[in-house]
Amino acid sequence: MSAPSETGNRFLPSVDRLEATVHEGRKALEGARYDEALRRFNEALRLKPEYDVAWLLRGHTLRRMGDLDGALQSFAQSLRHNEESEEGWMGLAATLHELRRYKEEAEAYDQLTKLHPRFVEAWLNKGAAYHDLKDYAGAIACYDKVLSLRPEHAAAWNNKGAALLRLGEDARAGECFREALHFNPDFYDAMVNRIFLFQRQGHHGDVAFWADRALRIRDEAWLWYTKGLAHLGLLESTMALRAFERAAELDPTLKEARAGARRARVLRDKVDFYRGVYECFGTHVPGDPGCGECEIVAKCREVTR
Amino acid sequence: MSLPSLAEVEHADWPALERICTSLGLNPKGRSEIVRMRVLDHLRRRVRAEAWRPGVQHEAALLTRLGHPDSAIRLWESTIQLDEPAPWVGLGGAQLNAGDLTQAAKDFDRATQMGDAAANLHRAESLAAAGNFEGAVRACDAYLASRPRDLRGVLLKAVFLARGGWTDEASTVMRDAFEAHPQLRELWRGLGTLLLKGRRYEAAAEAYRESLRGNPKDEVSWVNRGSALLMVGRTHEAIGVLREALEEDPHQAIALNNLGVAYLRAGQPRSAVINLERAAKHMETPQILLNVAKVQEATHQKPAALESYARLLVLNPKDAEALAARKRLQPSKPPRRPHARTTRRAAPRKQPVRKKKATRKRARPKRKARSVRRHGQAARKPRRVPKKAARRARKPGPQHRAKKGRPKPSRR
Repeated sequence: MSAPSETGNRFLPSVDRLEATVHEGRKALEGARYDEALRRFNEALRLKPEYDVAWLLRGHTLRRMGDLDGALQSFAQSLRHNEESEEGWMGLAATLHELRRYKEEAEAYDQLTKLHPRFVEAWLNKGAAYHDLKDYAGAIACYDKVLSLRPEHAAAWNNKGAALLRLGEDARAGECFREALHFNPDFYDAMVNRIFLFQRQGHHGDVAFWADRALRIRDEAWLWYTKGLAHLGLLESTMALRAFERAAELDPTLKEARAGARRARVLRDKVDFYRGVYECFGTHVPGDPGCGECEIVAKCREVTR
Repeated sequence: MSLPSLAEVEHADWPALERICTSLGLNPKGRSEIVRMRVLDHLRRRVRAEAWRPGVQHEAALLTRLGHPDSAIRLWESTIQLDEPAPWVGLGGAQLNAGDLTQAAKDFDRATQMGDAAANLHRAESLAAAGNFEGAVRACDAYLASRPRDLRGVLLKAVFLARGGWTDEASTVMRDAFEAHPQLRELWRGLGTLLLKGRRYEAAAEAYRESLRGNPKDEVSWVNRGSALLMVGRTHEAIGVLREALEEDPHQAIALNNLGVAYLRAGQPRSAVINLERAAKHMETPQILLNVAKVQEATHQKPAALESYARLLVLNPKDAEALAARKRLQPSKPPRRPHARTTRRAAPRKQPVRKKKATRKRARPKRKARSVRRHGQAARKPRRVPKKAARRARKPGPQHRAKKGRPKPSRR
């Protein structure tokens, strides 16, 4: 006489069945079938309540479903069963970030960096958490830690630059953005930060140049508007008008773009400079060999600040 | 040239950077840091090709092709960047399609200033579209200044020269191009066919001669050169060339037909008949049959001519010339005597008169043809018949080949 199979499964869960269930759940999660995924992970946790991976995946599922409190509980359960889990701490911290509980988020990363001192992503996110807490010096220390481990980490350079920008250290911030773009020339965030920096410094030529490059990556209305302002500053009325028009086209609610277009039209009646082939117009550097051969150097020098 | 490494570019001094820019076809103007960045961008793009996805510029290009220039212009304008000449070229193309030739020329000009030499060719097209062929040729020259042996530029220049009426200069340019690119000898035959279609027979004959220098066994070039020579009046040379063609392949109906016509023009009707009849044996087309019939009629082979016309009418029952000739050549029946219809005599009386005139017309060439033989002069009438035949026979040479899908120049 043999015992019923269900009874066997209940009291002696087969490892195969558990893994198969988690695997099915993981597939459902990847396919964005969250209800099915949650059902599978719950089933797995009925089979083995102390299974940390199932808790972790359940947390991710709930996070994607928008149930952040549930997700937080799941990640906490996961960490209860496996305290050293990188993924568990990262999930917990990410959920805390979404809940805007930045202090706790920073503490979570503290724990993680204590457990794994060479975990670069944890240091980076810890820096970002300090940035959100407006502790820019602490943030910079975290980014420096990342850069000591990986000097080519473009995101760390960018974040460090952003923190320095907040501290008003424009020159050092500019260097950081330069490094970030050196290691990743298509790094949109670094470009945007650089635009902010140049805008603050009133370097219209650099703003126009970097806005142009950033627009190759993302066609955004505010970037067109910023570019239009820079062209206005460089007395390029037609270019400014075109940029404002494009901004208004992308975002019809952007009133500033329409106002900018009006200003450009007015300016066009007075002056409209054409830069020709010189995309660096307005970024004159005395002594540069390229500037020495430039045909519009006089005008460029005039508009460069 | 091989691409420089990223490190090489990062550490290049200004002259080296300028040199690299020029060799890569990039705009070398601007601040050194910006120029360096431009080169690095270019290298990165070349080193890792990104997966293709349609962008605004692709949509703009498609809209230009699909005939919506206004929408294309709007899209091109949105893609314009500070250092990219391509959107300016695209914008110019769209404006060209929209008919705004002046603006198109300006846009191409901007792209040229940004270092895109090929924009000169687009500019040339826009100028040519406006009828300014001189400007178009100058734009081609500007392009060729940086790429002197570029075949596209040279051929475009030749086209604009020809359209502007400077045909001699055009042919000189073309000849120079072909001489500079001996591997493109095949193009001579294409040029010959184009010239033949354009009724520039002398130049066509020369082009085919060049083609044959490269490939002496090219039958099409032999036959078409013969046709061109025949058209230009160099009959004896044409006969020689066509014989050469027939030595390669004695069954070439078109060569036989053209040779027959050439013999007619040379005043050798018997040889003409023989060759035309051989042509008709190999390929019985209405044109060849008409040539045969006409020559037979001219050489007083009345029954044979009638038979040829009949064969022609089988192929083309509505052929007006054949119908008229049959009417003309068939023995006239004795006029019927009206019996009861006396009252209607007056009206139909004209018909017999016409018939008489027709018989007189028919008789006239015979007499004059004889007189030609007697006096050895090129009298009008006997010549007229072969001329007509020749005129008809001339056309089929090159045209026939093109229509029937016989080996076209470009295919061989």
